[in-house]
Amino acid sequence: MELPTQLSSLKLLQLKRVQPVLYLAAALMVLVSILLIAFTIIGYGTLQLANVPSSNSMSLNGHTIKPGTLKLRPGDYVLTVTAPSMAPFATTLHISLFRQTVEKPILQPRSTDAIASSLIGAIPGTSIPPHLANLQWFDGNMWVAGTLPPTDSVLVMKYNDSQQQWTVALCNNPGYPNDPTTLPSDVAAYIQPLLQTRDAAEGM
Amino acid sequence: MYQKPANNRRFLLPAAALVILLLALGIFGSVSNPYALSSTSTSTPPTLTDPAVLQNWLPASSYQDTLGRIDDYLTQHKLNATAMTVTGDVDTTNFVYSFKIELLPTNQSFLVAVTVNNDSPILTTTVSINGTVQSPTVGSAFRSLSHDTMPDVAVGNNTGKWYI
Repeated sequence: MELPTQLSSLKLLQLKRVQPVLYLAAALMVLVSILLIAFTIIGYGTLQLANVPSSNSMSLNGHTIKPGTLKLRPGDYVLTVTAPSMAPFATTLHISLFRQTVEKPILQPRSTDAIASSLIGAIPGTSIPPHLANLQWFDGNMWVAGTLPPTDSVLVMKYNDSQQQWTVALCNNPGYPNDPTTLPSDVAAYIQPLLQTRDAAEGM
Repeated sequence: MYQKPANNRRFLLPAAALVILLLALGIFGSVSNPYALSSTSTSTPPTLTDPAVLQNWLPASSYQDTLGRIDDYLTQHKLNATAMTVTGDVDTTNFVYSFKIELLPTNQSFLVAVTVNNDSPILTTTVSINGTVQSPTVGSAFRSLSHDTMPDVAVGNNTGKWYI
């Protein structure tokens, strides 16, 4: 009968020794819980986007965002600002906890070479990326015309405002629209000598 | 065998603290970052964080083909990534569209050179990665349409699009 009593006393002694450790662990767990909940509620930095026209599209890590101030978790983010007539702006931003990051993207007009490249890929009949020469803008930068060296093909591109995209209005190569009468008169007048030069070169 | 209630109560406080911790972890985990990079497995292609940089230069079909070849390259070389980004701008000298792709989160990078051949108006896209031409492989069709079956014909007013 004495043995069980001794065992019970031993267990009690062990428990008393372990108890402070358990209470310390409990206190730590509560502290970590409080920190986690606090971080969940207030653990943000802010990103303020300035000087971005509302017509531009913006994305953060591939997610579409709107202009203004965003609450973000600390970390790195890739910001992209795009518009059909502007060169895309892409940068990596670091957001710090409780801090405000102000980003003012410097937007540049989209290059005509980029517009032509995204439409025709290469100068027709070649694999040469287009670099436009004899460049001329019309109608408030809604039309642009030029030639494509070394073939000197004539390329006219038009911005479709409703569809927000550029299209080929004329390119004197097979498979593309090639009717100058469909162009505004000033554009048609500008490309007329360019077409004649190209025709003369082909005739030689 | 029977423990007194007083002994059980000694564990009550640590057990309650553990429950609170698990609850806090659950709340913390459930409040996700809406702008985090979308995590992907190796069976799905990683997200391109700044597609506009390539779309600024490449026709839509060439862009899709390029992503398809990059996916093939990642699969063949068993490169894991949750996302990828174009570092720097697209260079169009030397008759190719060349740019650098960086994988996230490993920051591993490789050079991509895209050649677009315009056979008035059928476009053919060739992609080289680190100097080696990347042939289309079976299984890449989820990202790009094969030019063997779907040539990229640019006719009339639908000769290209600027995707936003």
